[in-house]
Amino acid sequence: MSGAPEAETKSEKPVTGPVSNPDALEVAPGTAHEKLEGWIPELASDAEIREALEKAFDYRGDVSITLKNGSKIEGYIFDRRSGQTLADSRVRLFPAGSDEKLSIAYADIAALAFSGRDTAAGRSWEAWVRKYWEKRAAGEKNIGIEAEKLD
Amino acid sequence: MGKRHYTCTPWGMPTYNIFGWQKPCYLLQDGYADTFQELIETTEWHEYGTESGNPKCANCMVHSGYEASAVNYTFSSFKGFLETVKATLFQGYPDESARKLLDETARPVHAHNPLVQINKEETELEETRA
Repeated sequence: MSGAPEAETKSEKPVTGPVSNPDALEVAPGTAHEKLEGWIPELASDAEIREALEKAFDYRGDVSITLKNGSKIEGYIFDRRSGQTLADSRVRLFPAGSDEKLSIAYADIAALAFSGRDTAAGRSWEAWVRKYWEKRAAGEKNIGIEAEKLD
Repeated sequence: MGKRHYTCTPWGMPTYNIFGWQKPCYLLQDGYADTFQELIETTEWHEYGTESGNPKCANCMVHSGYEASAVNYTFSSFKGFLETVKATLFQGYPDESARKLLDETARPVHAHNPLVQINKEETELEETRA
């Protein structure tokens, strides 16, 4: 999969920017969850690199990073620090199977792939409530939502 | 006691986990700092709190941001301290706008707002298996 990622559901409204008086809102605009699993961004420009790594920071799964020196790292991005240039902007990640934090400059990244499973996909509060009402409509009693197994 | 207007103090109750010091609070995850000093110095605090206009902070009155604000108000001036003592010792409610809010009929925001029970799995955890 390449090109622009798709929004997961049309019902979840994208963030529309700052609001004039958030205290007056009954329901604040939410964040659109994009289907990023399997996505390989093109990284053709500085702006695309920054945007893709911002999405990678929000992604709740592992990503694969190929560096310009040819080496490949797979891991979970938990932080990003945006600087003036790609050289002083960095992502920080835990490589898969390691507890060592790595810091990689945006300028050193040749390719990015959202290779791991998106553990946040389909985990919205709305999805949980919808499941609850489906079970209730089906006549189920003592309805609960089972905690999922950890990988 | 009564309606108060406080701004968020997210650094008053910070979160630290395996990633580091979480920016800006435990409800939002906008990156991590390696030290508390770095957290304080590098977080763009003006981008958070209901007063910032950040939609992610809308309607938030969570203790991690506002409890510290209330404590700071209480102990940063005699006025704040005396007001807190007065509210603690006397159950008066002179704030008319707050009284009005309490008397208003509560309106559910969502059509369905059920309580959902989260069950624990019956099976053993992986690490407890022989």
